[in-house]
Amino acid sequence: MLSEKTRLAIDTLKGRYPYPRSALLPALYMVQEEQGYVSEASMAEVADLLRLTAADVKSVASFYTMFFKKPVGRHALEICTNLACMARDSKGVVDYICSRLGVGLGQSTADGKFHVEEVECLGQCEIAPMLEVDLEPYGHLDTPEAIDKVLERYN
Amino acid sequence: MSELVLTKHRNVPDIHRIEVYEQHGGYTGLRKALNELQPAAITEMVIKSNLRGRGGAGFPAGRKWSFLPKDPTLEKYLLCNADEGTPGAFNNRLLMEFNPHQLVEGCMIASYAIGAKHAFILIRGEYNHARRRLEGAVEEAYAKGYLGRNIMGGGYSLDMLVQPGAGSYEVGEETALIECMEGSRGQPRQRPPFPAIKGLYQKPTVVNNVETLCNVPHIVNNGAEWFLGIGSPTCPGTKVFSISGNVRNPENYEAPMGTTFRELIAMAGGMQLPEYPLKALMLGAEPPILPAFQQDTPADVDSVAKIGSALGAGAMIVLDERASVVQYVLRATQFFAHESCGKCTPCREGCPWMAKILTRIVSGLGRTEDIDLLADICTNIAGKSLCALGEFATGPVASSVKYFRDEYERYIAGDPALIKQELLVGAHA
Repeated sequence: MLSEKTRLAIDTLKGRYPYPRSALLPALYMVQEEQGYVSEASMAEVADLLRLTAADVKSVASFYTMFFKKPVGRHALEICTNLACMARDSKGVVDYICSRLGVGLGQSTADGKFHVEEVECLGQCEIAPMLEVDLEPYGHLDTPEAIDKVLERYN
Repeated sequence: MSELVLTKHRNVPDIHRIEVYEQHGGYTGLRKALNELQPAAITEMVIKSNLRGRGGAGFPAGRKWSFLPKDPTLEKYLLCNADEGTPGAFNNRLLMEFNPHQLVEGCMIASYAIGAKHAFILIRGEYNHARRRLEGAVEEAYAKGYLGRNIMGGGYSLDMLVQPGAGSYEVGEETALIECMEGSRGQPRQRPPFPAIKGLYQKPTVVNNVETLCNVPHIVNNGAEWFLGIGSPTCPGTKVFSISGNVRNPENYEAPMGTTFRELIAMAGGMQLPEYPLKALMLGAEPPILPAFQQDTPADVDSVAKIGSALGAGAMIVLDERASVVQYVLRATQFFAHESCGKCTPCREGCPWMAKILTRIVSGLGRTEDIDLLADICTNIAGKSLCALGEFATGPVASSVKYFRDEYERYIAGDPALIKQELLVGAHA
């Protein structure tokens, strides 16, 4: 069940748009903010609030990569491996993080702290190789020490 | 140093605050538009300036505006495309982060010109900082009475809203952007009807890129003639180039359209390591790859089109002699396979198929006939999908087969200096 606060916020969102359906993506962000991911049950609730079908909501949630459809580690650690980062050895970043945290890409650490993913270009190429933790960018990760420093911030 | 337009105030502290922006000439374009110019005159001015879309297609912005029906009783929308997702492009992010009011003002003037009462800025979900800046700017503009009802007492009313995307490259395509704004899956629509006739919520809509709109206040302030005096004759103005990869100082650099790629690399401090010269340039993931001998091409829409590539959004991923072009083509193709929205079969099936073939080539299992097979798949994807993503996916593949065929042949001959066997793990997992 979503909290009353979130339900109310989603209901208010509808009024911001010429057509309430446009509130769907922001509503799903609110759900994820509250629950850490977007569950089937919450999709049905959002559908109810926006007068859509649950299938419709799921079709949208499943299209966009930023919505987690299952529970993941507390901090989303997203490593860019696209072209510009590749030219600056993003593979070294992936290898180091995976071995340091003992996970593969697309997995969460056993303590539930991190969820590690490989992502497409994040548009921060001037600081390549880079990653984001919970959408906060960290760049110039050319050395293990630089990567360790980022991870330590989340200890 | 040539004249900076869009990034002129980059080092002004707090230029993202409305007071500071106004101290530096901000909102004079809006004031002039509302007080002195009829909407049609602004569209005329932008047509005359030949401001061409900065998102990739290079379509003249003013002409795009002029396609909208003139009926004032019709609801119309401005939708700003801030879903910057081209690999290697980060110029829109800079423009929104350091000077959000410049974009907000551009959106206001464009909305006034087309008669829109609602403007939306759809920004990619990952651009958290830029989104907060934009939301702050919109809030400040409301507080000052530059948004809302009866703006500056001129009788014009406009509402503006910043909407987040949620992780999809495809949404950068204008009809997919509209779908996303409507709260649907970001898949393209069949055209016609074009957005100018039936766009957002089935109403006439102009979709413009961030950098395109950022130019508008400057054109209104300084006039079309001034704008025509900068850059290339057929592609005037400046461009913010996002230069990354193997250069010494990866960054955004604003330069007149038509500056050569060689000059742009020099602006970025030259090559990363002097012992490794330029091998190839990727202008994003989509455009055909430029081999080093084309680096004296002027970077403008028409000059790059003339050599068979595309300027795109102004991304420049610089690759030096250490790079295996085929590996970059594989990575670009994996990107398209991942981002294909799945609507059209040639793109949905063709992109992963090309990625599979490229994977086996890079892993040392390539077959002689694979090179021609790749070229053949390209001709079966290009032009056969609703949007350009399919076409884009063929750019790096076809161009690398053309210019770097010898590298493919070395992989297939089993050159141990190139082959990367560890890729087999991912491909067969």
